[in-house]
Amino acid sequence: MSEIISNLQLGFDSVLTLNIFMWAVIGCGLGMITGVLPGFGPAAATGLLLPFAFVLPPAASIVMLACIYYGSMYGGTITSVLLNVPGEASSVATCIDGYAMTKRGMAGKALAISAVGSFIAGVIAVFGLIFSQKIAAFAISFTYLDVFGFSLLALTLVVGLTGDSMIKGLISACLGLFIGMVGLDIYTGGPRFTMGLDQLQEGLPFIAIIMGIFGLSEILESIGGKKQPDYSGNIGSTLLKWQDFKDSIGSILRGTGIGFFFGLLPGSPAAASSFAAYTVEKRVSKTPERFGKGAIQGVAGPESANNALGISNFIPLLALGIPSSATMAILLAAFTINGLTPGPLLFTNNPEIAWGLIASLALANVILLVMALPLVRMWVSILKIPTMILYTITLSFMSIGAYVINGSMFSVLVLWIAGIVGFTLRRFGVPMAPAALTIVLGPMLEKSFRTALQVNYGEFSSLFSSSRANVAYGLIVLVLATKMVSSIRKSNKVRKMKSSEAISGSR
Amino acid sequence: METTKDAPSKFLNGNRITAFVILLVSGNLLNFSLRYGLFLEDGAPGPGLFPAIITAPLVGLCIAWLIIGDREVPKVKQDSDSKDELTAELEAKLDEIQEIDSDGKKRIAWVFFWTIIMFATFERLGSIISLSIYATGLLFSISNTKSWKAIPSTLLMILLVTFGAIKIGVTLPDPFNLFRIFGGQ
Repeated sequence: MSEIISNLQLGFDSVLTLNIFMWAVIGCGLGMITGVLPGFGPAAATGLLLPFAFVLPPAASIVMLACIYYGSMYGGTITSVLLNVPGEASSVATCIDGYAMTKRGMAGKALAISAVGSFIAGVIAVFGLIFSQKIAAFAISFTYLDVFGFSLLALTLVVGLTGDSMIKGLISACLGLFIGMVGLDIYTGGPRFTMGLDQLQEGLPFIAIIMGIFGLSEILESIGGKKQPDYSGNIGSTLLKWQDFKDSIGSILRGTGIGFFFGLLPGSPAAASSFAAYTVEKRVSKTPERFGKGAIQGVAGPESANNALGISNFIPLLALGIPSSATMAILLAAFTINGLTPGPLLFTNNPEIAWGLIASLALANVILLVMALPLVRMWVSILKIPTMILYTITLSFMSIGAYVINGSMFSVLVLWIAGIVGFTLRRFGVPMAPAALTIVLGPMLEKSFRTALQVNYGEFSSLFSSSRANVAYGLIVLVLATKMVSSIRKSNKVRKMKSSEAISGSR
Repeated sequence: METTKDAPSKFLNGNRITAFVILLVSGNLLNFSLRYGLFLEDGAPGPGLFPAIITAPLVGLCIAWLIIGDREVPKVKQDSDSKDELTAELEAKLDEIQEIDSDGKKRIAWVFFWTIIMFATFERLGSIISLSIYATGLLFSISNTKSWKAIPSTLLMILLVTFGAIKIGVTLPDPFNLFRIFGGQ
């Protein structure tokens, strides 16, 4: 216990300097501004602002990006509640009762309970995050074979992010893996897929790619779309009454537990936790008929789950170096840019960063609560700025962000190519989240795969010689089998529905 | 709002073309991977082994997309029996692909046009002038913003960018030493 306290103290010492604290506040603010952009989720917001990782010192950039992520989640809540526009799947559950509260003139209350629920969930989840060090201590003895097995497991869990079409999701994952292979070969030093371009010898600038496939493609989609959402209503009072708090505290605690649990499972869709929290609230409520019509518990539960998940998502990243979502993959990229390797050794080699990150998340909770509640009208006023002006500013910032990666227009060109490719693929239902994960996981997977084979003279059977790796392979089989069974069930259901529609049509 | 569900044939053609393009690219990449060599002389894995392991299934997946990709069913219908209507509608909203009408296409074309101008001028004229042209051009062409709004917005943005860049220590192209006005070197 005393070790944990001293480690936390180390974390707070490294975060509570004026410089880092300032970047944490700026991160929360920028995250909220970006999250408020209609349709922008945390992955797009973090990807968009990733170039900060290049220009800031390691601790500042990691803390800032974590705060951007955190801030964008709350920014997304604002658009979900006021505009009924969820920035990402996990905000959908919030829309249901949040928007209903807005229609009843209680938007301020919905935003306030989201902020309070997120705060409580965040604080509890940060305590859980402390135990990632224990998992890391176990993972420290992993060999290359084990790393390969678990990286492959993480990759397989990508199937959880494939959305409706498994084929398209896997295509996205393969494309992401391929992007990570461009550049000089790690063992022979020979160029691979560089097309004779010197700029590609160091590999494709993945920050530009992530900014392109998430941020730029989203902006192009919004610029081309017909509907430009805006908000001109009054949010009403943001003050919560004691009764509101009493009504919601159970939902907040249940949501926190659900969200925290879901966040531990790499690849579990974030929406699953907020929907689970919403469903649980509806089931335990004495007045389930109020759900969908503006029940405060319908906002408190999913929002708390969302926030707890946002923090517990860091556990697989910090303990095993495995990103569990697209946003975590982007944060992993930020670690890599700064020469840091998240995973078991981070707590040993860079304790100030690992514990600083945990402390910064605790701090971000407080910053957000302070920024969200009293300043809620200011954030809402961003929605009154014509969206095209916001997009113009974002496009300009994005180009500068890409330029600073290596001080040349090459990264800007990569950004635009990635943006156009992302825009096109999204229009045909290819999800981008698997690509973001595999871009980051790819090099790790290849390195562990080739090293494991190299030390065993190319013997493929050696890949099965580690018991921990075999456990990972077993889990892979289980995940794939589960996904296949659910796909078969789904298609059977659709077939039944189609045939019943055909029968009723013929009548 | 119109979605792809209302324009199935157009969507399916686009689907097939996209699948075909990725198939061509992945086939080419597989060819390159094989040429790099799957194994080195000492039996160790070669530079082409891992790429081949990735690109071979990619080829297969693209073929599968070409064949069965058009059998997908709109999400709202699939989920409507397990979730309530409002939830299904909101979930569908996330996956919904907005139809881009001719105005939308024009706006995207303008974005590309001004981006090309930005590419051509960023290093020659410097970030301040280039971004001023870029942002003003975009504001006038995609948002029809009035000049009394567009010009101050652009100026404010340029001020913010320049000041931020100087403070963080970012080096941006500045052939005419305009950063000095903002206190830079």
